[in-house]
Amino acid sequence: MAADMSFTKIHLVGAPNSGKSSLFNQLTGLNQKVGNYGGVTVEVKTGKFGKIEVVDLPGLRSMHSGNPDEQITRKFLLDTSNSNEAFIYVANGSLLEESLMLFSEIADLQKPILFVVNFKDELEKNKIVVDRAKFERLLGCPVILINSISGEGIVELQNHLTEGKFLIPNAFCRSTFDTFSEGVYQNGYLKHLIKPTSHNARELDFQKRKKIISLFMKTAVQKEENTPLVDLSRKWDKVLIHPVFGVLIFLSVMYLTFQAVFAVSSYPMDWIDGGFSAVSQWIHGFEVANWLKSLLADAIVPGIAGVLIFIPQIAILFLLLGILEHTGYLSRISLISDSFLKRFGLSGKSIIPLMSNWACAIPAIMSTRMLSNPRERMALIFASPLMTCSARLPVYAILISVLIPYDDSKFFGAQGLALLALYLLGVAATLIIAWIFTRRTSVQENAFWSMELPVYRWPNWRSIFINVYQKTKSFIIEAGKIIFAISILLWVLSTNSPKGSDFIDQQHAEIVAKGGHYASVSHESIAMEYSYMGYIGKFIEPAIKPLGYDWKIGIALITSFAAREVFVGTLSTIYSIESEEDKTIVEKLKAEVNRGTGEPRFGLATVISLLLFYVFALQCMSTLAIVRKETGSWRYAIYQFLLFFAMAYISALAAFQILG
Amino acid sequence: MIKTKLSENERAIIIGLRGNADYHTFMMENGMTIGSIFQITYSPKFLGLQNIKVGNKLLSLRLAEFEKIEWLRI
Repeated sequence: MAADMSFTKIHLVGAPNSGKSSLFNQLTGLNQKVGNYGGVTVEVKTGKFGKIEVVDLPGLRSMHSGNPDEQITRKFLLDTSNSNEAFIYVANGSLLEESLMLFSEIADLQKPILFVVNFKDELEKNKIVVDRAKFERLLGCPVILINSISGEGIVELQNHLTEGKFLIPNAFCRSTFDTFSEGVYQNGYLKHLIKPTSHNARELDFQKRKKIISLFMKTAVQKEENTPLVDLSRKWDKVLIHPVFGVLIFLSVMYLTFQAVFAVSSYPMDWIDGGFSAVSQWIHGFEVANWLKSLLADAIVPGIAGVLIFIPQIAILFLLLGILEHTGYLSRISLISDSFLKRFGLSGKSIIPLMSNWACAIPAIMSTRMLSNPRERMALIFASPLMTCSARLPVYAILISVLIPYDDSKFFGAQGLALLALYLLGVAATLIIAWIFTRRTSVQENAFWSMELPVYRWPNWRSIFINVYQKTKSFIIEAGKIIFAISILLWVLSTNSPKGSDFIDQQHAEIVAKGGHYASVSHESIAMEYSYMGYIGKFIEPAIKPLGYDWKIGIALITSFAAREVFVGTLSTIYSIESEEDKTIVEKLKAEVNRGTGEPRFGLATVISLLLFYVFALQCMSTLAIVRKETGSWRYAIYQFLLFFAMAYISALAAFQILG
Repeated sequence: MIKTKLSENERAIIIGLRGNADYHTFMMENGMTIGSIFQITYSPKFLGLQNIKVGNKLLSLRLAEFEKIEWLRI
């Protein structure tokens, strides 16, 4: 049946692992954005292909599936309000017969559609031959064979989009639910989807569809009994999920990932840090008003540096996670971890949201929507913020660098091991809290669990790099805005004093006159102490002194409640203002002296105490907001905040008192 | 002696599903109903899972779910 030719919006729909996102990246390139759908927090990517808006919908297994993510896709499909929207159904070529089941359900909705068979190369490798003309006649809509990884067939697809070649497909099984009255067919299928009639009716419907699909496959598709690509994956599984080799490979992959994040990114991070220090120094040489010079060199430049310095680590982490996902290995990690996670009330499926936390708790909490078990989902939402997110990474990186010198002669350095230990501590805390949650909560539990294992395939580099670009851009824009604004605010509060400059001069002279290590105390340091910021820091100092922190660290703790990564930016701003020399932030922290004892301020006990504080504390307003949105109330967010703060305070206190 | 367990690479047809309506729905979402054929694939004991191949799809089920399937070796 012919459909309207002028479509302004195209939705990509298909099962998980069908290559929808790769196709979306092929069509839209970098011209895309990630948004939330209609007031809920499901991530829906939209992009532009010419004048057409392309929407990448969450993967759907069946029109009857009940996961929150799938419900959104279902809602898009059932929406009848917009007539200039069409759909591209993306089928995984390796699973063509299985893909037709979901297509049959969507076809019965009678919407303009185009059928895309993805992973064309895998069809060939599995010796599957599709008679395209017959297939098109059977389905009643255009069929295009593509490879979203290599880009093969994309031009033909683009031509179809431009020309609006979408058709309303043949209905598969509408008659199971349709009624015939007064000479007109009433669409009962839609009614059944909205309010399922009975389990038996659905099973009958499923069997009927299966028979039709089987007939279609026999008519239009030639295939051999053996499937080389699937068999090859099965051979790889014998090694990759082996009780000894599989676990060793898993642990090695995790270890190498962290070493790469730390070791490889240390070079560009040093360049960025050193480069911005040089820029600050250069600005100090300008012949302009002192306040303007200070604003540029001590607030704006360190503020920008405080954002850009994290790009290498975030980009490398997402690159490696992308490779693990695209190759199919991430699903095997789920399998290997299931028996372990089961002990904590979770399942192997939790590993993906858990690992997403290493990037950011917000998408990780959003990704729990793919879990069908409500209890597991709530436990993960509650415990997830304890996993080490990328915002903690710069805090850890700076503090570890203060404590442990970087040894570039060894790839397996002590810095990497320290970072791994902190990540493992975050994992342990998450699992223990999840375990307690699943035992204490009354949230309903689903009894069944299954996991689809995609075949191993070569990663789609274009798609991975687009994802890395998007995530890094999102970090720079979202976190950068906060870091930059706080840097300016801090500068204002740090360079102004309620006491006036004469008082500061007098205080400085008195301290220097004491002699000994007091003789080297700078004027800037005294100015900071008596600034508005100094007074705020001193107000909270009694509460944080037992943890080994002074008022300057206190300022960084307060500002980092907005976002953890602000901690480093704050210290960078405070010490830039305090110090006349243009050292790197690590050098400045190492040089900082406890005026009372003459010992380094960032000694072993203080650094360990700070690290532990940041392992546990929920210092991220955005995470609290997303928990509220996902759980529907502030209750969980408030519990989380208070519990994690207590854990952070007690562990930091214990560490400083034992080691100090 | 009648073999009550399937070994790796053996194929079987589903002749019954011993579970409630939710279990039937769960199996259906995984493409398995009475009459479906599956093949046992490599499943190390430590996983506590049963890996199978249904059509071209590689699937992993928990043992508790797998044991509710009534099958006939083919």
